[in-house]
Formats: sequence, structure tokens, C-alpha cells
Amino acid sequence: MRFELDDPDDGIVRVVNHIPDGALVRLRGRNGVGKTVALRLIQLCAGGANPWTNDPASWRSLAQAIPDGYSIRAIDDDREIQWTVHPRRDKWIKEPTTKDRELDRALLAVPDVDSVRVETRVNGVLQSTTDARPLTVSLLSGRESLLDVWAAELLVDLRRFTEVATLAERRLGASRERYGRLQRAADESSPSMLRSLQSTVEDDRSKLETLEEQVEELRRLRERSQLEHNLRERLAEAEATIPGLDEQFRQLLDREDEIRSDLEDIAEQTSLRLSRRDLDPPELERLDRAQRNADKRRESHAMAIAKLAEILANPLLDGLERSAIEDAQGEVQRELASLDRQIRRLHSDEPVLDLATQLQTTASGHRGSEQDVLIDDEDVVITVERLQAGLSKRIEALEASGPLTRLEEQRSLASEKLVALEGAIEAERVLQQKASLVTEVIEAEQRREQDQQIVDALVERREVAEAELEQVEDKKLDLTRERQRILGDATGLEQLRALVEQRGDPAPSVDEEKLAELERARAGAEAAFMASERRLREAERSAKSAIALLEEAGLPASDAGNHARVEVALGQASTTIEQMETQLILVRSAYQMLRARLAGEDEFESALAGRASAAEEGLAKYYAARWQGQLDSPSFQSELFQGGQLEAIDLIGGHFRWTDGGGQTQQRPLRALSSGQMVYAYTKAVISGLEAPAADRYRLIALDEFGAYLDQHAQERLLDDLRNHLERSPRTKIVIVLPDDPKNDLGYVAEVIA
Amino acid sequence: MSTEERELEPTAGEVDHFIAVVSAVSAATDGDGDAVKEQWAALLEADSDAFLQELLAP
Repeated sequence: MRFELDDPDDGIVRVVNHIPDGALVRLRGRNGVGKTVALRLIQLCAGGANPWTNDPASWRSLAQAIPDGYSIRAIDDDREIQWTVHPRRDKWIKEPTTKDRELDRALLAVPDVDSVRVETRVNGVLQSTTDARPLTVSLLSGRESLLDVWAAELLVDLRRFTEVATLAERRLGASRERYGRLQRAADESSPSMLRSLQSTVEDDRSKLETLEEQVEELRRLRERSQLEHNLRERLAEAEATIPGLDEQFRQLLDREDEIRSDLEDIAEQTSLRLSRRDLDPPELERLDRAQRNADKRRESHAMAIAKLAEILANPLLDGLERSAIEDAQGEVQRELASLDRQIRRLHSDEPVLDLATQLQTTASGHRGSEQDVLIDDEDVVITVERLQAGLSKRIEALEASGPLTRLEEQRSLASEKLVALEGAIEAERVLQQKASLVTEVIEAEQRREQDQQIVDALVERREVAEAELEQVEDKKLDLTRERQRILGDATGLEQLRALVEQRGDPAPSVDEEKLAELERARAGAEAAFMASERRLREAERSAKSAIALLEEAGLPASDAGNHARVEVALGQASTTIEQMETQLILVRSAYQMLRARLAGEDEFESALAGRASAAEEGLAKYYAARWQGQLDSPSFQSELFQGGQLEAIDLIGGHFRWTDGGGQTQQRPLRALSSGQMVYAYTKAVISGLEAPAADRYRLIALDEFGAYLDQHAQERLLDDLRNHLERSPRTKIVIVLPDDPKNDLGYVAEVIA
Repeated sequence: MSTEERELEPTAGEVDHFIAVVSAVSAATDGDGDAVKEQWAALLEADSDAFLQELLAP
């Protein structure tokens, strides 16, 4: 198989662009012609550890040197493998790590690999998976000693271990997280926990009930005390107030009686007034008629007065002569009597006497009846007029008949005068009676009006009285209520006293502070009880879902027995996870310590102290056994142990232990080997560990800087070993890279050895 | 499984190597190198749920 490589186009990085066909090729050239770069590029494309892991500066410069589409071809008789490089400069990692060593682990067609995407084609067919990796490259540096290589291998393994440990830690973390959920579920569904919560609830309930009883007792006591206090207060108030109320009540009753009596009186008076007002209609009519007549008679009276005034205007009837006439009346009477006697002696004078008698009868008739007055006033006037006319005639006759005639006429005149006077007097008396009757009618009307006013006043008074009576009733009701309020259920003051006496001594007063404190304690206990009950309910709900979660995870925890088994399983799982996490830490620490030890660096400080040392020893034994197998070949034994048998590699102690030809155990420090011995041993060790490639696969072994520490003798023996290896391993190509004279500016020389 | 996890996923050979290393260290520290071998295999060859299931299996 030969290799053809494109030239980078940056003009800085140089690459050997042709490695000829042949199983064993020696490539010689001065430094800088691109031997190592070519081999590293082949390894980069073919896959495997990033060859620039220990040379980050060159790796970073390569990012700019490799053009997109850079191509390398490996050509065999019947196969051409082509790698096309697409650098991803924006993602080009600055520090190459072992992560890049598996560039082709990802799908080759997917451009998501850091730094570089490489397309691989076999006979023009794009290989889409890492399974199609056709070439394996092992790049060995001849500058490295056995310990360097081991240290490097440890570093590579450490990095890979760290990567895998990262994955493992993630899974352990996820497992722990899920474990945590299951553990919480187990805790939440723990029967003992639930029992404990139930017990807490019961305790809290008991405390609450106790406090409630105490509070209730104090409340009852306070209520009783308050009741008795109220009772005594009521008694005192009743004793102070009830008599007054009763007195007021009695006064109200008296007042009520008065008002009722007054009302009866009012009713009676009203009835009386109303009955007086309601006299029988005929009487009222008579009175009305009498009044009307009186009015008429008043007019007639006025006329009569006028007539009398007219009569009195006569000198015989005026005021001065009236007395004279009255004085003369006696004289006239005496004269009249004398005349009568003379007339009786001379002539009888019957007509005059009859007239006088008639006049007297009429006058007495007027005096006889009140009703007559009402109907004879006109007669009086007529009589007066007639008398006046008669008087005038008599006077004329007397004047014509001489002395007797005059005497008779005078007597007649005097009699007429007397009659007229008596008639006038009688008329006056009748008029007075009429006036009296009218006055009586007027007074009756006035009394009726007064009665009406009195009735109105009585009605008003009755209303006032009724209102007052209503107020009295209300007041009585108020007093009754007030009395009942004061006495409460007791029906009387005496019963109230009896109740107080029945109570006996007052109940002790309640310590309000203590009651308040108990109330607070009760509230706190209630809150605690509710909280614990809520916790229990929540716990029961959680337990239900927790049991479901556990059952879903194949951990039935429905009863106490199952739950105990679940807890044991979870405990064991937790222990295992913890153990595995600790192992990761210990192994990583052991790697770091052992690598530092082999690299001759300062002793690695571990916080794990004794366990870390033990871990390093364990790791050292593991690698010693592994590397011992690589070194277990006759040529190696012959080269390093003078034909003896390697017994052990003590990496911690830093020495080989072997049995020499005489059966004696020998020991030699690892670092006591010469550089050539170390390189030889290393190369032998690595190559002997390489297996033959599988069918239709190839292996390229590149021994870079090979021979720098090997003398000619060792090189020859190693070439023999390589030839032997090639005989056992078909489809393997070995390229030995050797330095050349710096003055040789011919580039490089590729020599096919086998 | 994420791309990153896929990249971290060990090959079968790496799993064997990993377990061998852990076992060697465990034997040196705890005296029992075989104690959790099966669990490591389960962890590295399966996901966390399967691993935990394995752990919790009776």
C-alpha cells in the first residue's frame, strides 16, 4: 500500500506527499520536510488517538494549513482509500484531547465532529459509519522511553477513564436522583412514619381535648360566676328599683282611674249637652216662632213706645206732669170717686165704669197669659188709640156741656186717663214680659252655643284624656317590661331573693389571665393538631402515590413486610451507588498518582491518603501485569535481562524484578535502563501487543524518530523483530522515520526495505 | 442518548478495561474486586434506569 498526500497550500506546513508501496519502508529526511506531519495526518484521517495530543502548537497551526478538501489516498492493488478533510476552523479545538482520537466514531457524513470532518471513500464509495474504518494507524515515537510511553498510556487511559467516568457519574447521578425519588417514596410510604404521624395526631388531639376541657371548665366557671354576679346585681337593682316602679305603676293606675272617670264624666256631659241640643223639634219650633214673634213684637213695641211717646208727648203724660198726674191721680181718683159718688147720686155712669172694668179686664187678661202678650199688642195700641180718640171727644163734650158736663167729662177724662195709664202700664209690663221672653230665648240660644262649645271642649278633653290614657297604658307596659327585665325569669322580687339565697356563696372568680393563657394554648394546640392532621393526610396521599411509584419501579411496598424489603433493597442500592462513586474517585486518583510517578513528576497529592495509596497500588499491579505481558518475549528478555526471566514490574517501587540464568532473583530500577534499552523495549512492547488486522483491513505502524536512541546493533535486531512481525501480520505496513543530515537539502528519501 | 453521551459511550473493550481497572483498585482498597462488577457492567452498558432496576432487582 502506498500513500499519496496533497500539499497544503499555505506554504508553511510541509508534508511528505508520497510514501511508497512496500511492507517495510524507511523514510529519511531532515527535520521540517513533513515526515511526521504526513504520518499524523494519515492517523488523523484513519482514526485513532489525536497524534497532536502532546503537540498542541502544531495542532493549532494545522488549522490554518489544511485547506478544505485536503485529500489523502492509500492505494493498494485492488483498493483505493481516500480521505477528504474538511476542517471546521470555527470549532477547531485549541487543546487536542483524546476526545478527538475517535473522530471517526461519529457518522462520517455528519459534520458535527469537533475540529475536522473527514469523509472516507473506499474505491469511491462513501463510508458512512465507523464500522467501515479500513485502516488502523499506530504511531510510535522513537523519542519516548518505556516509562514515557507508559506514562503517556496512563494519561490516555486516564483521559478516557475520565470521559467514561463522566458518563458513569452522570448515570450514577441520574440513578441516585431516581433512587432519591424512590427513597423519598419509600420514606413517604413508610408505615412507621405514618404510624408516627398518626401517633402525633393522636397526641395533638389528646392535648387539644385536654386543653379544651380546661378551657371549657373555666368558661363554665366564669359563666356561673357571671350568672351569679348578674343575679345579685339584678337583686340589688330590683330591690332598689322595683318599689319605685310599683309606686309609679300604682300612680299610673290611679291616674288611669281618674282619666277613665273623667272620660265617663265627659261622656255624660257630652251626652247631656248633646241631648239638650237635641231638644224635640216642636219646642224648638215654638221657641223659633216666639223669637220671630218677639222680633215682630219688638217692632210693635217700638211702635207702641212711639205711640206712648206720642201720648207722653201730651202735657198730661210728659215726665214732669207724670208725677203731677200721678199725684193728681190720687186727686183724680179721689175726684173720680167723688164724681162717681156725684154721678151715682145724679146719674149712674155705668158705661164709663164698664169701660174701666173692660180696660181692667183687658189689662188683667194681658197679665194672665204670656201667650196673650204674643197676640194682643196691636189691640193695646188700638185700645190706646181708641182711648185717645174717646178722650178727645170727651174733652170736647165736657167743654160744650158746662160744669157738670165738664166735671163729668173731667171725671171721664180722668178715668180714661187712668185707664189709659193703667193700659200703658200694663202694656209696658207686657212689653217687659215680651222682652224677658226674648231675652230668655236669646239666653237659651247662647246656652246652646255654650253647650256646643262645652261639647267641643269635652270632645277635645276626651281626646286628651284618651291620649293620656294611652300614654298611661304605654307607661304601664314599659314599667311592666322594666320590672320583668330587672327580675328576669323570676316572677317577683321575693322569688329573685329566693334564687339568690338558693345559689349560696358566690362562685370563685375566674383568673382571666389564666383563661387567656389557656385559650392561647388551646389555639396553639388546635393549630398543631390541624397541622399534624394535615401532615398526616398529606403523608397518606404521598404514601399512596409513593407506593404507586415504587410499584411502578418493581418495588411493591403495599404492606409493612414488603416495605421493609423495599427499604433493604434501596439501602443496598444506595450503598452500591456510593461504593461505585467512591471507586471512580479512587481510580481517577490512582491514575493521576501513578502517571505522575511514571513521568517522574512531583508526587501527586491526594486527599484520600491511605486509600489512595492502596488504590494506586492496585492500579499499578493491574498495569504491571498488562505491560509485563507485552514485554514477555525472548528477545526482550535477552536485551534487558541477559536471558533471564522477568518476574514482575514494580511500578510503585520503580524496578523490574527478574530471575537470572542462575535462578537468582534480580532487581533493577526502571529508570536505570538506558534510553536505547527503553526505546527498544517500548517498541518491542508496543508492536508485540498489536494484533494482525482483520480481513480487508490494514494497519500502518509508524516508528517516528526511530533510531534516535538506538545504536546500530539494536536497530538491526529491531528490524529483525519487525520483519518477523510483518510475517505474522499481513496487510501491515511499517514506516520507519529516521532523521537525516540537516545539510541535506534534497528533501526526503523513501527506501523500501521489505 | 445525546451526541455527547454517544461520544462518551465506551466500546465493549473499553468497558472490560474499565471494569478491570475498577476491580483492581477496589480489590486493593476494599479487598473485594468483584463486588460491583456486574453493576458496573450494567451501568456502562445500559442507561441509568436499567442500571437502577438491576440494582433493585431482588
